[in-house]
Amino acid sequence: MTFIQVKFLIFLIMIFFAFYICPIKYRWIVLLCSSIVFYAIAGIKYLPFIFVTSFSVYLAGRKMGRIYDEQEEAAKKEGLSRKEKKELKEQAKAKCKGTLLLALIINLGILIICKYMKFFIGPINGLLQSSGSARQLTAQSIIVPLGISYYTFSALSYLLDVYWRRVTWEHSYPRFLLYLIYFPHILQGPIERYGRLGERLKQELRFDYKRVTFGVQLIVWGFIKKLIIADRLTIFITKVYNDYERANGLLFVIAALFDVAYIYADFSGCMDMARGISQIFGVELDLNFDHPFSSKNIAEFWRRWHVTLGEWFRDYVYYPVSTSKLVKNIGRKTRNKWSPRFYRLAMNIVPITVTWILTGLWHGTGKTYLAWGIYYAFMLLISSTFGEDLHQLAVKCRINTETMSWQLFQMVRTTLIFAGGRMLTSPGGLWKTKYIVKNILTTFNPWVLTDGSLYSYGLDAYAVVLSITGIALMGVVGRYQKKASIRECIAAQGIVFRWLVYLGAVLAVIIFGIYGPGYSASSFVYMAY
Amino acid sequence: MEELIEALKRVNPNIDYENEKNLVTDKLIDSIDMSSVLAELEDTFDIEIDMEYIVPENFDSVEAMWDMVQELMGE
Repeated sequence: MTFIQVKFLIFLIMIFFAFYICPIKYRWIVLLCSSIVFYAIAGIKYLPFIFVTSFSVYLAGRKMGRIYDEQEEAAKKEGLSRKEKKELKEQAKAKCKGTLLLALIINLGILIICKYMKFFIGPINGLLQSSGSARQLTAQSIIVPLGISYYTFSALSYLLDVYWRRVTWEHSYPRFLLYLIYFPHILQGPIERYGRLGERLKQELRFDYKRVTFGVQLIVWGFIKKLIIADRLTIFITKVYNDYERANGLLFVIAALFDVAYIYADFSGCMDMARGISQIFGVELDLNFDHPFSSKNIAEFWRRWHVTLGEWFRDYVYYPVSTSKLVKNIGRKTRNKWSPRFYRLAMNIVPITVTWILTGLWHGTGKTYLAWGIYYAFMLLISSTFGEDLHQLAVKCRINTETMSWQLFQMVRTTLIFAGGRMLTSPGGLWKTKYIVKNILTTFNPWVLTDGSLYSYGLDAYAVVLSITGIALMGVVGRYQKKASIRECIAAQGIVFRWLVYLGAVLAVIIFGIYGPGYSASSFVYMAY
Repeated sequence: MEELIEALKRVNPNIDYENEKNLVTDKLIDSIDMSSVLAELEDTFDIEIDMEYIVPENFDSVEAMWDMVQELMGE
């Protein structure tokens, strides 16, 4: 069950009434029960996995939390010197290490086995055969629980935050389970931190008419992005990349640019729906997209795109690697010998490469995602090392870097770098990417815009115009959102205008949404992760 | 405190450390700068900054960083 299915809308309406009929102090239990039902409907076979993760992490958090509580009690004793208090703290941390490692091994083990088992089907089947077993594994027989990458990362963030004493441990297992399984974010994120979502779920969840209407508006906006824009664009992109021997030159460029708009519309549309659904119940989810295409460079882009994943990798991979002995030694050896620029590069080369290779492998398995990770590591290192030089060059050439045209140049450059990253994974193989890039660089065929070729890949002229209008609408809305809240602006209008906007938006989804035969609007791309 | 500001200026001399109160929150110090900031602080004050201290609140202003450094030096 996904957000864009009719059965989900019926499910949502039922929960809405059950939630607000229930007394305030029990409303979180309604959310917990409905989240379990939601996940069970998505696939009952997946339930044991999330229970194992939630229970093992809850127990580990409880054990570490109790050790720290005892240490703090002991430290309160009078007469203890600073040194003795420090020793107590270190002893407590050392006691927690084993528990932390065990929980990490269990949960990362489940994640890795579920996501990477398909690569080992051959050797496993060979072993089964040689041991005389008639059983053989197939790719279909491997269970990959929905949202496993998201809920495992949320669980690990809690685990590490308790270990690093950044959050207080959760005493109640049902409360902890709700934090992980909360249905608006279980399948596709945002990857919430316990310190934020856990606390929000504990607040009094009261009915607020304005917040509920804002939530509904956000859901409808998510539907517009998904059903009108993303699901239309993907038809063209898929056909061009599948029929790559027929397509050429400019058609590939258009497919690559459409692909950028597609992934944004699909993923941010889903996030709008998730945040809107959660707002209906009075719970704010973290922002996952913060106008990424307004970014001046690729580092800023990744602080604005899939924000919660970027923050996760920053806090739990990048910083630990940055503070490792290896990186510290590199820093000490290069600080006074190398120029500040190359010292900075030396300090970041290992943390950035490790972080981005793992980010790539989080997104998918195989060589394409490895290449994707290396590509971004390279781009980020180049940007952080030589970014200032480009700025200085512009100043020397008397270019005013405060103008809108320069900012536009930076935004286009960032978007093209992102399109390059998508080009590594979207076509479906690095050999295909190589073929397409070579074709783009060696083919000049602007006439595809007028000779009808553009309309022979699943989208007719009407659909192309509609898609481009949709992309432009996303751009206008994004630009306006940076200045003011569109929902506040609509709310301030008269009732007739307000309802005309609502009705227009719903009708647009019904009329222009993609529901045609042969293409099912059933899943979001990031659900696969 | 002077020593701390000197150390930070070695990482990025273009920031007004005395007056900025949201150095990390406003991304004046980004994650790429952070590894250099950590190395500078550790070497200047001969301390070890554990992961539990690496949170935005401890790096948003020189005062917050100074408090953290004092705490780590006192331990």
